[in-house]
Amino acid sequence: MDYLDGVLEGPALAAFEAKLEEDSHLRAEAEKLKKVRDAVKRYGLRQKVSTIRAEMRSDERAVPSAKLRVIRGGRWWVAAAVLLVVAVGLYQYYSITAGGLYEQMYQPYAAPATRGQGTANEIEKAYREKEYELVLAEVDHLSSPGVQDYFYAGNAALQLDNYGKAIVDFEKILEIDRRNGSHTFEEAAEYYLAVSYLAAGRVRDALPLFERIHSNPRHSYHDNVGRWRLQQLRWLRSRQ
Amino acid sequence: MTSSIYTPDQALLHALQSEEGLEGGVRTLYREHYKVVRAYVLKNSGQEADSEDIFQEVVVTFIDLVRQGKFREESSVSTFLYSLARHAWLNQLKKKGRDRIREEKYEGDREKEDRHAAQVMKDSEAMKVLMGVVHRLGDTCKKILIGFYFEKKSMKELLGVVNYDNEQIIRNKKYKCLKQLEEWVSGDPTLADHLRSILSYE
Repeated sequence: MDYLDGVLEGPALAAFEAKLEEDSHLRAEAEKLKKVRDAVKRYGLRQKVSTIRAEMRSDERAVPSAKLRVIRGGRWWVAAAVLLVVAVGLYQYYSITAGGLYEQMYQPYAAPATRGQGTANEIEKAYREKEYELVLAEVDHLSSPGVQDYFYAGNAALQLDNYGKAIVDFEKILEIDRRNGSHTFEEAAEYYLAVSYLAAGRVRDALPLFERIHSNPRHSYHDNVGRWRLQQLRWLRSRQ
Repeated sequence: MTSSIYTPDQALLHALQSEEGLEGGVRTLYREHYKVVRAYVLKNSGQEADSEDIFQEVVVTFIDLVRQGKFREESSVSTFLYSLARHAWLNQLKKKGRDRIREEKYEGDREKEDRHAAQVMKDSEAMKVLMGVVHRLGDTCKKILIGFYFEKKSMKELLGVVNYDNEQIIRNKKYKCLKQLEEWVSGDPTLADHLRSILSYE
C-alpha cells in the first residue's frame, strides 16, 4: 500500500521494485490496484468538475429568475426597482472598458527602501526617483539582466504607458523563473503582467492570470482581484 | 514579443495542474470551449443534455491527461478538446446504435484525425466503467479514498472528515476500501475486461 501511495523510498522502494520484477502475480496485483486508485482519483475529479459546472449554471440563472419572481408579485414599484437594477446592470456591463479596469487595478509598484547591491541599486535608485527612462536605459545596457532588473524595467515601462515593453519584461521574469525552477518576483510579475495585458486591451490573455490569482488565497496579490472585479473582467471578455 | 511562456493555453494548462487553479481552469474550459462542442453535438442529432455529458467527460479526461503530463501539446487546447468531444460523441452514438450513417463520414476523417484523441477517449470509456464501481462504495469509503487520493488530504485531516478515533483506523479502512474495489472489479468478468483494456493500452 505504501508503494501505491508513493511513500515508499530508498532501500525499501528498491527492494519492493525488485520483488515486483520477479513476481508477475504481485506485479499484476499492483497494476490492478493502481488502476483502481486512478479510477478513484478521476471519480473525485468528476465530482469536482460537476460541482463547479453546477455553480456556473446557478450563477447564470440566478439574476434572471430573481427578477421574474419579483415582477410576478405585481407591485409596480418593485418592477420599477428591478428595471432600475437592470438598467444599472446594463450600464455596468456596457460601460466597462479595459482602460477603465486597468486604472482601477493598477497600483504603481513602490520600491522598498533598500534592496540588492551594485547595478541593481542604481536601477532601484532611478526607479525610486521616478527616472523611468533611465531605468529602461540601465537595464538595456546590462549584458544579462536578472529578474529584479526586468521587474523594475517592466514597472518603469508601465509608468511610461509602454505596455508592450512591460509585457515583454514581465513575461521574461516568468520565463527565467520557470527555467531556473525559482519563484523570485513570480507572483508580483504575474499580477503586473495581467495588468499590462489589460492595459494593452488583451483581456483574453489577462483573464486566466487574474483567475489564477483570485483562486489562490495565498497569492500575494489575491486581495487585489476580488470576485466583483473578476466578474467585470469576464463581462469585458464576453463582449470582445 | 519573442518567447511568450504565458499564452492563454499555457496559462490554462498551468492552472489545471494545481489545486488552487483548478476551479478557474474548469470555468475557462467551459466558458471558452463548451459552445463549440455543444454546437457540434446538437448538429449531430444530440440534445442539450448530451452535450453537457459529453463535455463533462471531455473536461475530466483532459484534466487527468494534463495532470499526468500526457497532453502532448501538438495541437491547441481548443483543437484537442474538439477532437476528444468528437470521439466521445461517436462512442456514444455507437452505443445507441445510431452510428451507421455517421461512421462513414467520420472514418474518412479519422485517418487524418489525431489518433491520440481516439485512444484517450477509448481509455476514458473503460475508466468510466471503473468509476461506476467506485460509485457503489459506501459514503465513508468514498470520503476516505477521494479525500486521500484526489484531495490529497493527510490521515490527520481525514480524521475531521470521517468519524474515526485515530489515523491507523483510517489507514486500515482505506486499504479495505481499495481492496473491496479491486475485488469487485476482478470478480466481474466484464469489469475485468475493461481493466485489462486500460492496462494493455499502457
